Amino acid sequence: MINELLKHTLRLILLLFVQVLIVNNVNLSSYVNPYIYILLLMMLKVNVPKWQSLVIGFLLGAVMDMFSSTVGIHMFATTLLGYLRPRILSASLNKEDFDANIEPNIANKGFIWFFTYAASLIFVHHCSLFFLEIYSTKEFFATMQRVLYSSAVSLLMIILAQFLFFTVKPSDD
Amino acid sequence: MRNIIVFLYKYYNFILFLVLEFFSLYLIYQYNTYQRASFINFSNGVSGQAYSTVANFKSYFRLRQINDSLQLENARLRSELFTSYYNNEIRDFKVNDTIYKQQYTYIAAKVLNNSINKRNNYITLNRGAAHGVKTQMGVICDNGIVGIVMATSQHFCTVLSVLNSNAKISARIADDNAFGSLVWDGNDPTICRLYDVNKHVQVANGKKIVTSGYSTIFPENIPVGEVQAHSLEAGDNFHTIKVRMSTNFSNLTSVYIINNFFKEEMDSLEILTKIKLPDDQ
Repeated sequence: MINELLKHTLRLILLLFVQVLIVNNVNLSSYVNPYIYILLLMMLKVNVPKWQSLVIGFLLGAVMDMFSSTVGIHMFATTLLGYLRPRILSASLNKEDFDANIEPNIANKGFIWFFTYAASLIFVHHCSLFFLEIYSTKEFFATMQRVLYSSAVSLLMIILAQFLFFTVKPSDD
Repeated sequence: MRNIIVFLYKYYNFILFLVLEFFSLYLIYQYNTYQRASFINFSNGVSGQAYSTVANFKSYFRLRQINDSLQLENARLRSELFTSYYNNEIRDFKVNDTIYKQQYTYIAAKVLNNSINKRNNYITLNRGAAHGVKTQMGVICDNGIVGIVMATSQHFCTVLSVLNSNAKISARIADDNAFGSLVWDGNDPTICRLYDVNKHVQVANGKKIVTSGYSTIFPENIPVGEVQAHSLEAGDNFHTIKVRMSTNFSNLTSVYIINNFFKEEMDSLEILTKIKLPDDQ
């Protein structure tokens, strides 16, 4: 338990460091603002209770809001993520995965599963985040473009990070 | 009663979810009506420290550029010094100056954090309430406008960048008194748009755009940029003007916060006018 807490705290610090000091400073275009800090929430173990997933999402959003001079928008998006995560997991994983209490990463579940899992969560997060940032539907298509381009880059970065930290076993399915 | 407890127990996850989301929405709503000073002050204290450490490192990489721009500015200021003017006056006399009263002072500040690629951008500066910074003060740099102070803590302040959907700045075409409001459309950080300039005004590419001085935030004639393109739709009463900004937001390092001594007097007078108006009608 203590080990688990320590691991996630270190992960939080590393992700915040990368997000705030590196990713936020890379100006690719005004349409590309990747957010990779949600990886922390995505990689919690599958048996983490639903209320914990919600509260961790909420707190993660609060920390991110602090570093981006915004109020509530990251909070809303990550809480939504914390709510959806257990539901997506229970819909797409089988009983053995829950019994073994695995971490939903690319090494345990393979590329295709992780790609779908990450893509759906990233899209929901970016959608709510960018629309709340604008706080109007006036620039709907420009915002939608922002969501799509940013989601694609976030997904790419998150998957690259997975390959960097985990060895992917050759898929047998 | 028992049923309520059973209900709460059964759906406590969903209820917790709703509570947290409504709390976030409440905060977002508050923010959009600009009632957010307390929360921002707290976050400034925490993240301001982190950003100032990083800014210390980053400033080393830009030393050469900063030196160049400081040298240029020094040269310009030196040329404005009294001693660099040739005194053409024949008689020497003294006037006790009661006509000119100082209206603006400037607080030099350093940029700790800045973004240009979001739809709503903010800047963090290393000056705060302890240095006399208050909300609604204007911020400029050597060659143009930067933004408006939004919240202050003891040693830091956050600035609403011109590159923000909530920023609207009163600007006019230089040597013409036609004014309009300058807003950023969210695409290119070097281009803003000037709206509400009446169609009878002659607009030409390359004309300078400056601040109008109609608000208490920016003094008159601070450079904003120049006209890059302009169009007038058939049947429209106002020009749409594309303005190339003179401020380079991507490498902002040193800025000045403007303190207007007459701000409170002007603002309270304007509020008074608004309150009195309905009585007359």
